[in-house]
Amino acid sequence: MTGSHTHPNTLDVMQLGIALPNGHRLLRDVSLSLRPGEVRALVGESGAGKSMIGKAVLGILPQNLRVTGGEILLEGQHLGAMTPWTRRKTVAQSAALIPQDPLTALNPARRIGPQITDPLVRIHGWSRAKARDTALALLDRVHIRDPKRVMESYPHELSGGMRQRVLIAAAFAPSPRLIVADEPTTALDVTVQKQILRLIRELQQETGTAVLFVTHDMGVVAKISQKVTVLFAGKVMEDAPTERIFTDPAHPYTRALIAATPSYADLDRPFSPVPQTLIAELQGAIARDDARHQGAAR
Amino acid sequence: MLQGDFGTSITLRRPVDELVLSRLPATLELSVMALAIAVALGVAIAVIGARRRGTATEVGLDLTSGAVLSVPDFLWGLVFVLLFGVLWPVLSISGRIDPQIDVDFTSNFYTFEGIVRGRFDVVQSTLSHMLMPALALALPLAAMIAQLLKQNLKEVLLQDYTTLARVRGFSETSVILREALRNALLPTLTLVGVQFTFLIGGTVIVERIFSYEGLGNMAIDAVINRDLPLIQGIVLLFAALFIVINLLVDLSYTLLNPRLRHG
Amino acid sequence: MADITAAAPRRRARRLNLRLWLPLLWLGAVALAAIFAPLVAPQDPLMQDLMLERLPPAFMDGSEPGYWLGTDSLGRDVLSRMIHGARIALFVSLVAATATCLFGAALGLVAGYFGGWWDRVISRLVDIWMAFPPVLFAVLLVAVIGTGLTSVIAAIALIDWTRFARVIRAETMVQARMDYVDSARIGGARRLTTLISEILPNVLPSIIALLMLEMGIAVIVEAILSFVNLSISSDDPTWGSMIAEGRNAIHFAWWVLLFPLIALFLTVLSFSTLGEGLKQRFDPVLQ
Repeated sequence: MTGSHTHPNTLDVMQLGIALPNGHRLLRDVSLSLRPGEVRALVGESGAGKSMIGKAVLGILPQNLRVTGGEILLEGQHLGAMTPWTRRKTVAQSAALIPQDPLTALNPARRIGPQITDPLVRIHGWSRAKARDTALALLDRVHIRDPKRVMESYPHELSGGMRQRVLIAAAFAPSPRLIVADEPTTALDVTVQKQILRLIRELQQETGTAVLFVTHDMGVVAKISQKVTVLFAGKVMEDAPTERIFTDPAHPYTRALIAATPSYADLDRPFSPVPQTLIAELQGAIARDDARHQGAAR
Repeated sequence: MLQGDFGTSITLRRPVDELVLSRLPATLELSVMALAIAVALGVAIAVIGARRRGTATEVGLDLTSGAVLSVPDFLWGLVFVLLFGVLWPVLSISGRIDPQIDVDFTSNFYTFEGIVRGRFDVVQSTLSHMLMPALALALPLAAMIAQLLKQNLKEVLLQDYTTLARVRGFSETSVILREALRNALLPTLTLVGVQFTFLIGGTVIVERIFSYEGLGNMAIDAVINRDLPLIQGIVLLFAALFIVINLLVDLSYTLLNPRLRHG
Repeated sequence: MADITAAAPRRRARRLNLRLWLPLLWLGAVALAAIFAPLVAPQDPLMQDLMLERLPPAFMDGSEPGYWLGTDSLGRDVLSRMIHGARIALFVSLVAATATCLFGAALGLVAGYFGGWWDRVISRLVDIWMAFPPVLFAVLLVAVIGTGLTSVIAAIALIDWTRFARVIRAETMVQARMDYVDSARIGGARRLTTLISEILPNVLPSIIALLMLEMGIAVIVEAILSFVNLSISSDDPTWGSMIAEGRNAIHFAWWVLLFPLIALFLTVLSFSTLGEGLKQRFDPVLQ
């Protein structure tokens, strides 16, 4: 605990392992770190376990999953060593989530205003007036017209794009040091995607918040992040600065992933999905690894 | 009939409307108390079950409410008569109020008027007479509410907005009470609306068990004595009551659901 | 790993069996007592003896030999009356539930298979019917058609047929969409034949499960109606009339209420447990 104010990293995930109750491993010794103000993209195809890392950090893993090993340090504090209550408070104080689907992430029975201000008042101990002013200012900042009226609205009165703006405002409201953005643009249509992406980047730069950006889209990676972690079957394939990922990818899977992204494939080259042979080869390697792992455990 | 003349009771030799209306308050107070107990109990059990989902506590609550549900109010009433009338006689098992108490009220809403007038001896006596019949009527409905509401709570608790509330630092209990409950309540409300009319139907027999001077008890006497004008009056009153309840349920449904409120 | 997967279904099977056997055991005992009532009952259930009134059950002071569960206010033997009461309880539950089932299931099959105009009329009828609270409905029906065992049975069938009609209609609609129905029709079978020979066997499990539940309900309704003296004459031993008597003598002879109440409780619980168990076993959604 002594290092908490000198520790340079906002987030350290060290050798994190997660498994199903039947022993099937979903994350295999995943390590990554975020410096203050840094944006790290977490890419991989669906099922690679990228969302699970964010969920593990925030303490919202599905109940049937268990953490098999590793450590998570949030601003230098060991989350695994805490009681559930302290852990919840600590996470709420320093981290926030921008969820994937804005249509289901707002409570349909409550007005927008309290959904933003409630945590500020009840968890962060702000006054109602300060919470309300902050919420109004942030709604204005995310380009919502007539924030006062929106605060009084119910979610069903807003469009999908507007709801995602509201959720971004709510995430930035308590000035967190870390934001986990869990595929925040996947559920939106293409024109809105760009605006939302730009908004997250602008707010991130203004506030200096570190962002763990979970996505499957290499195009998004290029636009938003400084660092990239490439994940396959719950295992880190490559961890590198963003420019190097695109100019000089070290791992064949990263190359395949870039080639599979329409906007980054050469125009004269046809769009090519990640080859099945490569996937089979990687899976084989991971299976051999797992077997060796189990042998060592016995 | 059309002028509101319901005739005269054959056995009691008094106007039917007068007789029926004098008994209505007793049945209404009993039904409302039963409903209040059922909702409070059902919601509490559902919340605890949802809070402890996946544990032995949840299984235990499920089994209990399943068993409670398969026993009708008639049997619960008799069980309470034995338990609290004989084995541990703490509550009165007959009548509506202690006959020693002098009641000179303008209405027959003893409990309600007692509260308004500050006559707490009356309130205390009526409540202690109502508790057991109300509980007997309430238990099956409470079990029904507990099962349905817990099911809905568990579904709502998988929604993204509850996850978001957990990330924001709210405890599981507070997530259930503040975020999930209101959304899960809507289907329960429909159930309560339908079942409340059934609960009032149940007062007929439960009032009989506890010699409670309400409409239901009067209805059975009327049937036994084949007092047709009285039966007719009671049936019409029950029917009117059911229509009013259905209207109230529709109204509260709109109040709870913002989507309906804004058209 | 292998041990866990093998043990789970075995444990489940045992629990299912217990839930099946305990109710069957009780209902079997009740049925035997009912059938052989004159042989089993230690006393004449109608014989009054003012010298023997309000005798306590055998395990208490002041009891008389031969009156195991005590006597009521008129000196009648509680156990003998209960045994003879089982006759009426089981008779009503069998006849009333069967009548309800035949009536309701037939309407449900017709509504579900023929659809259209049939379905609209029957479904609307079910909706209207189910808006009435059943107990109130039963009391009123008896007021109209008169007291007695036949009217109790008629009242049950007239009220509860909706329970069968609703469920069987839904199940029939599911079955009617299956391929085997089409192939039977293509093979030249008439609609009514198809309904009886193809669809009926497939909805039969649900009908049997509902029948069990309905028997429990019938026992309760008969008890309620005899409790309020609207069933057969109050001299005849029924569990409901015994309970009514026990309720009146509660402060002098609680056993007159307790024992028939236990019998009624166990019987109702047994029928509903059996019904629920069968329902879960046959319900394709739950499997």
